[in-house]
Amino acid sequence: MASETIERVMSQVAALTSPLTLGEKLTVAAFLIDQAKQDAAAKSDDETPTNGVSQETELESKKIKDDIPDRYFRREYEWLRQHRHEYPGQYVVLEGDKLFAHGPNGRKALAEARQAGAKHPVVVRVEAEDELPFGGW
Amino acid sequence: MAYYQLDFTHLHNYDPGKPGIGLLVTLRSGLAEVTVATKVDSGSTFCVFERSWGEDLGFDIESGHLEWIGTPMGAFRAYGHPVTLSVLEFDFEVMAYFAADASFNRNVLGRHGFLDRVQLGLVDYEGRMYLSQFGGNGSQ
Repeated sequence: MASETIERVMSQVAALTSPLTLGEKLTVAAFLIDQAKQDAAAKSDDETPTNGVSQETELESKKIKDDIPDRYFRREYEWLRQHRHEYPGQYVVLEGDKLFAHGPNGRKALAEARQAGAKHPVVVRVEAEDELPFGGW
Repeated sequence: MAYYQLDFTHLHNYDPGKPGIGLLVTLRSGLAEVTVATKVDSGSTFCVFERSWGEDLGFDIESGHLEWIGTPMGAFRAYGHPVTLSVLEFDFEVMAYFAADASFNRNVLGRHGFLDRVQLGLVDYEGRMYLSQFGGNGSQ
């Protein structure tokens, strides 16, 4: 597709999505990536890549997808299920299934995680085993 | 006996063995965002978060809307600021309250800003939380 066509489409997409919230825009972005992946998968069924273009597309798609947080935080929940007992009373900062930082100060841990490259970090204070149960209000 | 039925669009599985009904939520203000662990608390009037997360979003905490929040053990100050609160695939424009006291380390989803935006079903024994956006598919 010619670059001017892409620019025109992108400008239309920008106009259409301008009223959306950031989260909604990310949902649209995820949808477009899924569409592209499906197109690429359908195409690869028909032709064998000879010049690495398909692999490049896949890598680029993965890179973009990695920039979009999973709104269900499946990997973070799984990491917490497996590892939370190792950090009682601490804040842990995760992205996906990777622990970026931990410590008693949540904001400091969050800053460290961002500095280490976390783009959409998740902060969780892990309750200590002997912590009194929360009574609500 | 009358029977009632509700339909939901989303299911969140939480760990029923842990204290509280846990849910990760993202708070956004402009381009700033922070994702934190919260507990659903039907006894809380507001959605209340640690001061740190409001500061991280760039808010001058004390410039927000002051609320005194009562508890059985006394009251504490919190300040409201407008945020986008994202839960699963839902985005709500809400007032989030940030505790004035920096040692406050709870994040709770209360009625205004969360429970009044969703339709919610709980099967706590199995750690299942069913959710729909109020007014969306599944709402009565």
